[in-house]
Amino acid sequence: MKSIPKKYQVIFAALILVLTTLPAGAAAENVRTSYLYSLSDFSGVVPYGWVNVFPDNKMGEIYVTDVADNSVRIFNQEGMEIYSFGDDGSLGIIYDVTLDNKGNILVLSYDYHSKYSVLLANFRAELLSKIDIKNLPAGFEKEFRPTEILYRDGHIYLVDKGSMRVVLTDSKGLFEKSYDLFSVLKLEGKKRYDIEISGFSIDKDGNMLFTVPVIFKAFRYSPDGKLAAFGQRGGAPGKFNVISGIAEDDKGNLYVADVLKSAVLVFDKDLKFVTQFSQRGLDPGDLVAPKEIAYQNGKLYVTQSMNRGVSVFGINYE
Amino acid sequence: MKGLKASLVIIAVAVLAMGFAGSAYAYHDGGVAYCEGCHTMHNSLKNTAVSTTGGAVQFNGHNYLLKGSDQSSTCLNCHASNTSFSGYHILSSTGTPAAGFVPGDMTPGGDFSWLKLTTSATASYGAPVSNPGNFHGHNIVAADFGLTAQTAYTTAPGGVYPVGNLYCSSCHDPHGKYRINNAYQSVVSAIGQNVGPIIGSGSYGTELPTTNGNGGAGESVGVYRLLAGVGYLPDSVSGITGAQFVNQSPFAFAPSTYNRSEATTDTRVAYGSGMSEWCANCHTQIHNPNYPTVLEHPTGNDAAASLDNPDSNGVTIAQKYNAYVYSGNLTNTQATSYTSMVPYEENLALNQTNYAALATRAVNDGSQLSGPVQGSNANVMCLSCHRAHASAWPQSTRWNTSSAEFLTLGGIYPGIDAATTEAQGGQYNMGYTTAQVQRSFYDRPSTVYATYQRSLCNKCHAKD
Repeated sequence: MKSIPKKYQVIFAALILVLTTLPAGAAAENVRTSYLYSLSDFSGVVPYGWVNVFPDNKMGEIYVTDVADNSVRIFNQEGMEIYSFGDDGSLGIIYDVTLDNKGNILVLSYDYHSKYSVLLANFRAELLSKIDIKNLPAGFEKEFRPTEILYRDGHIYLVDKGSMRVVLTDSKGLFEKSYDLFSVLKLEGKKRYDIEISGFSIDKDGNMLFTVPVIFKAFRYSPDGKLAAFGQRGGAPGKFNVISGIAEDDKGNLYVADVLKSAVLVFDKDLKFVTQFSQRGLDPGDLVAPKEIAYQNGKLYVTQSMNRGVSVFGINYE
Repeated sequence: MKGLKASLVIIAVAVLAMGFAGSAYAYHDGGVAYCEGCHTMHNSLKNTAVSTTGGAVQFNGHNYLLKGSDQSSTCLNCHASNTSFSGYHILSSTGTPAAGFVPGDMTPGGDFSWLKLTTSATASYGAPVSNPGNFHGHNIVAADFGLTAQTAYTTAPGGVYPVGNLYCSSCHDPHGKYRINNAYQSVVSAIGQNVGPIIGSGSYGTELPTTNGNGGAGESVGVYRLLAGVGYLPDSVSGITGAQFVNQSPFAFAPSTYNRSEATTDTRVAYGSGMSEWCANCHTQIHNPNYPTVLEHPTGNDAAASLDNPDSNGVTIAQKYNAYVYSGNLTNTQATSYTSMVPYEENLALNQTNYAALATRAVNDGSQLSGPVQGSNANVMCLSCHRAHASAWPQSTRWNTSSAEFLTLGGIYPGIDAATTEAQGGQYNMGYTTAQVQRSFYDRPSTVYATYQRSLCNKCHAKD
């Protein structure tokens, strides 16, 4: 039998290599979604506009921060409000909250002179102490205005979406590292404040997930500096209009809210498009300009405009 | 192996290039954005497919196949944010703000959230003070974001533009047809014209028209803030006689970072010419001595509005502007007299020389503090006193001109929570907290003013 020429062997081997290393999207589980309910109190659906949502995975609760009425409301797993704080102004003007590993609440707030603070409060939201952010590099004191806070593995992340900068501190507020995501994206010649981040979160591996709507891209940026971009402008399923919130589920799927499409797009862990769900409309399960999203225990929380509240979708896999 | 590495590098570069190819780095880039950014193409409201049978069921979406409930809602999908202060946002409260909410956006035009803040107070002498939000600016209709039409009027004051049809697109041409060509003329794309493509924004003075391009028309830049020019008539008011614009887009530049606190340095928008005339496209009769009284303040590129006009003692408005520091202090000089709380127009016509000159003054770093040049016929304009979008105060004025003479009392801003009984007087704070009042001054500390600062009308008139 005549042997296969060596050059074809090489091509064949390369083909196998390519096929075996392709993204596993085709084999990825299908993601099924269903609208469950909207976050409510005893008066009915809380008519939220765009708000921040933070999932407390340990307790299964959801924290919703509404800077407009300076409130933080906590909802249980069934979507009912169980506690609220902030509206007395004692913690300043609250922009975002998160929890540390002891269950204490970290509050990112501003005073009436536009100066931000990180406050530590107990589970009742009683102030314990102020966490001074120390040793910030030059330039950060003046132009750094974070509006999002996250806590992960003993580190505090402060995110200034406008300037596209992230500051990492230890749990006591001592500066550790900063990330200039504007520079990471190499958008030379462009105006920093014309770009901005819209959605930001941290995945379970410590990667930063963020969206930049004006370039129609979402990104995953690893702590060691590896950048992966995904998304493409367009109206077809899987393409981006103006995107915003981004979150990861337990299986590594990524969810991206698209404000203009009024839909949520799902990508697998290899950043391959899986599906998208919902559409603009006024019926339950429809969305109007979805903005922020958060995942927790098989549920996706989606904020939207038109005072339609926070819609909760169930996530299932096939 | 070396070849394989090289191939991988090439592939990586190619993939990266593919990923970013065609990306628009600023959404409008001086002209029309991509169609699908605002309009739905194949599916519309409720994800209903476009009918193949034609007729009324063909378009199942919002008006004009927009991706918002209305024109403004479509814009605000991107231009509103309650989680980012900076950039291109002009609405910081997307829901219903509680009393005491401090609007976060400090663009030169102002934050539309002020429209949602209605306050009331009691003056120190016992009289009620009302401060309805719908008098704080242009009441654009944006159903998705809780902004509703003005109820006190049916048309624009001094004009015919119907308040129920006031959208962002009433002023800003979302399709960006107006542009500045390579001869530095305001032109508009129209049938029979070759005006060249728009290659960048005309809002900052950093992008220049070129002589490149096909057909000899060169390449244009957009107009300032996409503000529409002569002939503009949005479809929503196409049947309204007199609604069509008759004046050209203004000539002005802003610094590229403009949504910011002015606690330490001003955000200086450099106004060249045409601003008041442009406002008159809708507020036409406000300039008419018969509407509604003959006591109108001069404004615009007219001799009556020139800062070179002297008072009875021969002292010009420009001299007073340049000398004014604050109430009682007239020791400033022309080199350092500018304040963005009272901007003026330089009376510079659009041409190549002025384009470059004006752009140098659009800064936010405090490096351009010079005031009006005597003899230049710099002029007062509508925006010398009003903010274009909204402000904290009635009639969208930059400071409180409505209920009291003092802007500071005993060195502090007034507020319902102020430290002194005097500053708690409702005529001074109109029901706002000190934080809200300070925000209306874009975070300037009260110490930049006199301990008992009077109206900033005095920046030009120096009567205090």
